[in-house]
Amino acid sequence: MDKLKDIFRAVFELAPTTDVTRVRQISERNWDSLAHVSLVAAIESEFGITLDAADQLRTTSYQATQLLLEEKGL
Amino acid sequence: MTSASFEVGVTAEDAIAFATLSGDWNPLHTNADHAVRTAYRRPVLHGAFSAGLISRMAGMYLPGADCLLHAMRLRFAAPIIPPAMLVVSGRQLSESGSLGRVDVTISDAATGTRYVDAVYEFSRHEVAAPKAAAHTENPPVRTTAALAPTFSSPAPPEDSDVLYSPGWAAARAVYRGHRSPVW
Repeated sequence: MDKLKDIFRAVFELAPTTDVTRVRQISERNWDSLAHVSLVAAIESEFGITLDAADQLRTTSYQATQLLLEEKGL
Repeated sequence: MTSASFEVGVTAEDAIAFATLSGDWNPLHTNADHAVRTAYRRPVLHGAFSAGLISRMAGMYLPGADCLLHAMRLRFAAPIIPPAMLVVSGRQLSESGSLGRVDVTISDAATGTRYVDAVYEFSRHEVAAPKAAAHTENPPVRTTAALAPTFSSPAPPEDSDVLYSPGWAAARAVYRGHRSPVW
């Protein structure tokens, strides 16, 4: 899931030392509504999938997003 | 610790109603053809609609009827795409001296996804007892029950683009007199 980590680092402008696996919507200060849709768009583009409205509501942390992608066989 | 919560269903019609009331017809909120060409893809509920729900928490629940709202800060963590069922949850963090502080979240009722984090500060305003009738034998009873609005709608103001509020006449007098009101 290095690709997903790269996406999170880019979208939320994380410092190189940040543990990406601990990033959560409720605690990441750069996580606003535009970053949220940017995250969804980047995942769709990089993984070649489409996330429906229900999927988009599940992208609330790195771990939740990783689980979502695993459920989709990625 | 004092807390309160309520649920609200929001629809595309609500967004239009808010646009009508506020005058904010930004196409990201009201025009699907425009929204589909943005990162959001679909019309997003106005952020200020969420601010209205925070106001409801303050004015109706925490602290309720005697609320005087001082400040409000919101973070929009995810876009609200109507239709959606929202849960608005408030938790009073403190109230010391004349100021109280409440933390509020607006989340999706089905998934728990957080849309908005907010904090507001309030104080309490005093409400005088109703004026006693002249020569009454019994003094008026002071009540602490919640007060419902009792004012009736007066004639609309001259300026057609301004909504009426009870303090309008005084505010307009200030505005016309000094041209630099402090709101």
